[in-house]
Amino acid sequence: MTPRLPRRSVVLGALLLTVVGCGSGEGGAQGERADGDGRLTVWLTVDARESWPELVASANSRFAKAHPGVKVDVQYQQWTTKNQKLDAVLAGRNVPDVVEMGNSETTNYIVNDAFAPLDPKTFEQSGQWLPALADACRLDGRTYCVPYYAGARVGVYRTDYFKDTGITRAPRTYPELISALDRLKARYGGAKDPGFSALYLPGRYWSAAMGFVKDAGGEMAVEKDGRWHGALSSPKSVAGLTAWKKLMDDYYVGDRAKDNGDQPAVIGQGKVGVFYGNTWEAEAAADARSGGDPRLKGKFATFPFPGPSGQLLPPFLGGSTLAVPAKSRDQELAADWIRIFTDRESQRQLVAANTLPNNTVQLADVAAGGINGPAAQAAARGWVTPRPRLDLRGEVQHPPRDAGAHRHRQGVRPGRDPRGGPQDRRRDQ
Amino acid sequence: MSAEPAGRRPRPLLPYLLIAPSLLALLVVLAYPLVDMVTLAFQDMTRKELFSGAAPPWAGLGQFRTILGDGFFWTVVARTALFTAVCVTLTMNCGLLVALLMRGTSSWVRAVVAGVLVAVWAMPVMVAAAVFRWLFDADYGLVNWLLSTLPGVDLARHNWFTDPWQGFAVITAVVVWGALPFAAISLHAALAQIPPELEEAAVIDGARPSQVFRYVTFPAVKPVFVMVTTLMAIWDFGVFNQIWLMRGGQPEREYYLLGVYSFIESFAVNRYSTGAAIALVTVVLLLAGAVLYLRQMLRLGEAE
Amino acid sequence: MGKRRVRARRLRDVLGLLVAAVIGFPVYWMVLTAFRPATEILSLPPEFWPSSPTLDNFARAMGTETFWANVRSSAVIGLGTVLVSLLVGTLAAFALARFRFAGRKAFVVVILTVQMIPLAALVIPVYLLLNDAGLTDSLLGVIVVYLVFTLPFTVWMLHGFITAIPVELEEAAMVDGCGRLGAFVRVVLPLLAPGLVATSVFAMVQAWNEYVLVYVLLSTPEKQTLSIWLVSFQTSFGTDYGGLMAGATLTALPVVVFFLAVHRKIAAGLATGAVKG
Repeated sequence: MTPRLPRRSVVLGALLLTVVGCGSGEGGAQGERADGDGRLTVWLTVDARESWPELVASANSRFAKAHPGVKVDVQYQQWTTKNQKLDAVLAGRNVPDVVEMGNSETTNYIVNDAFAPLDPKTFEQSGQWLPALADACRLDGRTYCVPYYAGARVGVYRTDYFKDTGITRAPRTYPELISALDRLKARYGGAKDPGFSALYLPGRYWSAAMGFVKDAGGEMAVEKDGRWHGALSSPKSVAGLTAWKKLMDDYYVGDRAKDNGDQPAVIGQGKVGVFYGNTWEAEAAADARSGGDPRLKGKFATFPFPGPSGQLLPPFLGGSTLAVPAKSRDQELAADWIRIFTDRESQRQLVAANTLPNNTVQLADVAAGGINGPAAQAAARGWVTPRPRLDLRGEVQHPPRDAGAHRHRQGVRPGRDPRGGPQDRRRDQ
Repeated sequence: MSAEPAGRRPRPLLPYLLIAPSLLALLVVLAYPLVDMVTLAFQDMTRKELFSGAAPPWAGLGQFRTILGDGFFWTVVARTALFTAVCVTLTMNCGLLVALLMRGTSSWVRAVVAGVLVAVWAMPVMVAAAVFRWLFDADYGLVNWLLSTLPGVDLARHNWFTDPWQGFAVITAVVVWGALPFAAISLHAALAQIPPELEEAAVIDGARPSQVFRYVTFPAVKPVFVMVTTLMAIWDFGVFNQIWLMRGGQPEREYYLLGVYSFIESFAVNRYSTGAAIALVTVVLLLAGAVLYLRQMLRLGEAE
Repeated sequence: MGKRRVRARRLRDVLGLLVAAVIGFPVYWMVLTAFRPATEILSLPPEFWPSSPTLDNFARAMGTETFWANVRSSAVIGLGTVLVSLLVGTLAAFALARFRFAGRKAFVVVILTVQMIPLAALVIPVYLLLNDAGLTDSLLGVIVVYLVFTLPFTVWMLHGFITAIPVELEEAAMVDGCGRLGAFVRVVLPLLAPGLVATSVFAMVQAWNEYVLVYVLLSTPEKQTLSIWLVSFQTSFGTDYGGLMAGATLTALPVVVFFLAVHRKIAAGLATGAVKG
C-alpha cells in the first residue's frame, strides 16, 4: 500500500490481462470509469430504497434541473457489509462521491482523513441540526458531514389488546405502564398462555437496557485522565439495570439471551402486548416482508416510553449522516447533491415517511402529533454512545471491554437496525 | 525423487508446462496481496494510512509479541484445534459411511441420496445458519419441542448457546452437516473409480467383507481420503461464517476461534496489522500441524 | 443366496433413504418455509406441512428488478470459473500425480498454503490489485479471482483422483500404441469423470454462494450475483425469511439440476465399460 506498489500491480494486472484475456469474451476494462466526467456516484443504505424512494427520486430530479448533463448513480448498500467495501474502495482510486454513514461510525473516518470538509453555512437549517448528529460530523471546528435523519425508540402497544382489557389510553407514567402490563398479563398471559409476553424485552437488546441505566443517572463508561473506565457497576447504573431486569422478570417470557433483531417477526405472532422499538417496527410487524402478520395492520399505536425516574426513558439516538470522500473528483457536485437531498423540502418528505428529521425545528413539528410524535418527544432526551478521545495517530481508544456495553454495542446500527453484522461494530467507535 | 515410474521416458519439461498455467494464475493474482498481508503484519496500519496510501510505520515483531504473549490467544488456539479435530473426525467418518452406503444401494436410492447431498451443498451458509438457528431456537425451536416430547425431558425455552459446550455442539453439527456432502460425494466418486475386478478378485480369494474393505477398498480410496481430510482440517481450522451467523454477528469471547478472532481484529476494531499477524500465525500453525501429515502425503504418490 | 442378497440391498435402500431424510431435513425446512405464509414461520408447535401453501414468497423474490440480470451474472461467473479451473487444474493435477520433478514439493506447499489464508485478510489487497488492473466492477475480474481461489482446491482434489487411478492402465494403453495424450484421453479421463464432477460441483457452489469478495468487487446492481441478491432480503426491517428461503431455493435449484444431469451421464458412461482395460 506504499505508493510504489500500485505501479507494480499495474504491471501484474497487465500481465494478468494477457494471461486470461484469451479465454473470455468479456471486455477487459469496461468496468473502469473515469471520475470528473459529470457522473455522480452516491452510496445510500437500503433504508432509502425501502422507506423513502420518492425522496431519492425527487431529489435526483431537482438535482438534474440544476446540473443538466450530470448523471446520478445511486447504489444501495447493506449496513452489515458497507464499511468493509468502503474501506477497500477508499484505499483505491474510484471512490463514490457521496456516502451515507451511521452517526457513531462517522468519527473514525473523519479522524482518518477519509472525508472532505464541508461548509455548514451552505446547507439549509445547519444552525438547527440535531446535536447528536452534528457533533459526529465535527472535528477541531470543521464540519465533515451533513446530518441526514435520526431515530429514537418508543413504546408500541396493541390497541386491540388494550381495548379488550379496558385500558383506555396509552400509559403516561411508569406506574401507569406497570399497571397496564399487569392487566395485560392477567388477561392474556400466565396460565392462559405461557407464551404471552405483556412486554417484549429480550436480554441482548443493549440500547433498551442502557436507556434504563441513563434514566437512573448511570453511565456506560466515564472518562478520567484521558482514559475510559467502565461505569456499569456504579450504584446508579446498577439501579437502572435492576429496574430493567425486574420488567423482564415480571413480563417477558421468551429467551433472555436473544436480541431484538427479529422483533417485528416475533411481535407478528401476536403474543406480545407492548414492546420497545422504533415507530416503523410497528408497521414491520404487520408486513409479511419482515415476517409480520398483515392482519395486524392498524392495531399498533406508539407512546413515549416512561422511565422509572418519572421522566421519559432516554432513548439511544441514532441516525445517519452524508459525507463526501476526500478522494472524490466531483466534490462540488457531491456537496450540491447533499444540499438538495437534505434541504427543508427533502426533510419534509422524510418526515412524511415516519422518520425523524435532522433538525430541531422540524422535529418540534413532528413531536406535536402523529404516530411518530412520541419518538420526536423522546428524542429530546436522546443520548449517544461515549465518544472516545483520539490520540495523535488517530487511533481510537476503546471504552473498556469489560464495560459489558462494549460487547453489546458491537452489533448495533445507530438509528434503525439493531441487527448486527460484522462491520457494524466499527461504526460504534 | 528419482522414483520415476517405470516405462516413462524422463521428459523434464512436460510437468513444468503442465503446472505453469496454475502457477502463473496464482502468482499474478495472489503474489501482491500475499506480500501485502505479510508486510502488514510487521507494520502498524490504521485507516489513515489505508485511505491515504502513505506507508504505515514499522512495528517489527510488535504485533506478534502482543498476540503470542496474550493468554487468551492461546486459549483460542487450543479451542480451534479441538474444534477442528472433532469436526474433521466426525465429517470423515460420516462421509465414508454415507459413501459406502451409497455404493450398496439401488441406483434410484443412490440418486436420491446424491441429490439430497448436493442440495445441502448448494444451500448458502447464510441460509443454513438461519435454518439451524430456528431449529435450535429457545422459544420456537423444533429441537426443543421434539426433545421435550420424550418422557422426562423438558427443554422448553432451553437456550443452547448459554453454555459454550452446548453451543459448540450445535455449531459442530452445522459445520459437519455442511461439509458432509463434499466428503461423501468425493469419497463416493473415489469408490466409483475402483475397478470392480479388484474387489471381486479379493472375494473370490476368500476375503471377508471387513478384509476387502481394509486391504482393497480403503487403500484404493486413500489418496482421495487424505486429500479431503487435509482440506477439511484447513477449512475447519479457519471456520468463520457459521459462528458469526449462529451468534447473530456478535460472537461472545467464549465463541472465538482463530478465524473469528482475526476478522474481528481486522474489520471490527480496524487493527489491520494485528489481524494480518493473527492470519499469518494461523497459517504457520496450520503448516506446522500439517508437517507430519504432509510428509506422509508427499510420499503417498510414490508409495502407491 | 440370491434372496439374501436382495434382502441386504433392500435393507441398505431403507437405510439410505433414512440417511437422506435426516441430512435433507434442513433443506426440507428451507423449502417448506419458502411455501409458507410469513405468519406461520415461527409457529409453535411446529408444523411439518404447509397448511396453506403460497407462492407469494417466490413472486416477491422473483419480482426484484435485477433478478434475471443477477441470474445471468451468477451463471457467467459460475460457469466461467468452473470451466477454466477444471482445465487449468487438471493439467497441474496430472503433473503432480504422475511426475516426480524438482519443485514438486514446493508446488504442493504453495497449493496448500494458499487455502490456509483467511479470506478476510485478502479482501482489501485483492480489491486494490484489481482496481489497478481496471478489473473492478467487471465479471472477468471476479472470474479471475474465483479461479485463483478454487484452483488450489481443484488441483489438490484432482491430484487425489488421478493418483487413485492405477498407472498400469495408462501404461498398458501407451504400450498399445496410444501417445501420452491418447492414453490420458482414453483411459484417465473416463475414470476421472466422477472426480471431475465432484470437483466441478464444488467449484460451482463456491462461486455461486461466495458473497464477501463479490460484494466488494462489483458495484453495478445489474452485474451483481445471486448471493448479493439473497442478502438483500435482510432489510433494516428485519429479515424477510419467506423471501430469503424462496430465493435460496431458487438459487440452489440450478446447482442440483446441474449435478443430477451430469451425474446420470457419468453413471451411464461407467456402465458401458469405458473401464475395461
